[in-house]
Amino acid sequence: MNGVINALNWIAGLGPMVMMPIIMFVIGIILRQKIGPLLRSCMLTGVGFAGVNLTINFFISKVSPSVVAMVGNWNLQTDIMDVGWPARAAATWAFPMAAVVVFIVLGINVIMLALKWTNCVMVDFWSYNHFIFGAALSWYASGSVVVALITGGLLAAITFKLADWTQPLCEEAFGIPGVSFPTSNSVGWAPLAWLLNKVYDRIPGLNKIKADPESIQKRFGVLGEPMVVGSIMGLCIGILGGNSVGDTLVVGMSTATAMVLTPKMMQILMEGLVPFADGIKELLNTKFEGNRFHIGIDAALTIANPSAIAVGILMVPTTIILAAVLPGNRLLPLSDIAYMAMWLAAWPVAFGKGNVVRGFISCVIFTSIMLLISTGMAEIHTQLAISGGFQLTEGMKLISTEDAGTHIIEYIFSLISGFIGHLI
Amino acid sequence: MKKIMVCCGSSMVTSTLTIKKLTEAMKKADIPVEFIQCKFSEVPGKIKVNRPDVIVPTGALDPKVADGIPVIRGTSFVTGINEKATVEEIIEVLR
Repeated sequence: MNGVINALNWIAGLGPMVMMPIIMFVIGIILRQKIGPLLRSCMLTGVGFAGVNLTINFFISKVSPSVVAMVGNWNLQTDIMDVGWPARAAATWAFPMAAVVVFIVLGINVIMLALKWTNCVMVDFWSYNHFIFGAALSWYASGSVVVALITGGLLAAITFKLADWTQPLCEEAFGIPGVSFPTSNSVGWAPLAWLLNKVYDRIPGLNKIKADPESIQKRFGVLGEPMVVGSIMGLCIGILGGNSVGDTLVVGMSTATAMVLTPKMMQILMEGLVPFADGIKELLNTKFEGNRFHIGIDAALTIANPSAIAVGILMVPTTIILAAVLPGNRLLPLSDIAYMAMWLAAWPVAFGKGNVVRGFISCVIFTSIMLLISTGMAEIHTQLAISGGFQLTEGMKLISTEDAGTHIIEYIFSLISGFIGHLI
Repeated sequence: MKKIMVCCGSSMVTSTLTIKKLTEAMKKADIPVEFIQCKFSEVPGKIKVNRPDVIVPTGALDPKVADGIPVIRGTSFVTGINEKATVEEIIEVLR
């Protein structure tokens, strides 16, 4: 037994670039995948991990000194740098218990389907990362493996139920029949979105306003383009950090670079994970065929909704203002700013039947909560990122991501886990 | 060489999945293609520079942003249901 633990620790110590291919290879063999393609996808995933780490480390090293200077110069509250969701997701997959959580979630889905407790067939292997993240948070909060694994399972069960509940809305709002979105950090906001929409119905004036998304997208469309947003924000940080003209340009371009390159690196990582995920998908598809079921897929598809894009674009400048004035917030929104606003807009516009004004008001509330959660998670997030191979520069004590703050159910569970951790 | 633009929310996850499946399908159909991968919000900007022959969004993309370029929904590549019909539709447009 000791030998096994030592071996696992040794593998984990080599970092995700080496660890992930090895773990995937072992699981792939168990699932009887072909060795040739399996080896290729394992190595590609490792390469993708190295790529994500390279880009994020580049980003942190180039931009964080200016962030630190800016915070100092202007006495700002925002000393936690947002490094972008790929960093959060990659570090999550590198969490040592990730593979165990995957099997637990898979098992829970199969059991719930068999007992007819859910109709959601979760084929979206990638989005398992949110349950792993929840388990990781719980582990850091409680220090107990058992609590962490139970948390991961409970999160999955809750998410499947929420997916069942919101499924009828998916076709109506997002035009995709027969699917649902059991992506925890998206659908977790659905109850609150539903509640707020009920409130708006009762507010005189507000319940009459109509707003079309097209004019917004036409006028402010460039704010939806990450490269443009990145360079503008980078330049602002450079100027506020009191840099010379040359250094300011470097910071601007470095931020734009991170915005463009991180998705490319993530694509490589995904290219490796895809064939692997197909094995799991086939298993679920062949075991549970029938019309009653809806297929659970990635909530990233909700972002195609024109109202969500419009609200997201409006939220880019709004998020920066919120981050500056919201009491208790310490996160400086950066990498995630364009994407996460659209992500949070999905359920408010779905319940509000595409109404941009309602979506915007809900999103302001959501974003405020998200900023506070991101701040609250920063310490654990930083530990998770460091163990996933990220390097902090001097003066930069904490990092977090907007994306982490969207994990509202996970955060509640991590607080509970922390409480349980104190008891045992 | 035909150009296929595949887009999704993040330009990382479901679009990568779709491109992998389309690469195989197009090889089988013997149609040389290149892919452009982007986010939904980047579509209006990118189509001006690289006029693709067809746009395959993984979600419900607003046809108005496509500027007359045919749009064929690629959600089936994500769910794994009815993939073949979608591939045929795309081949139809390309030919």
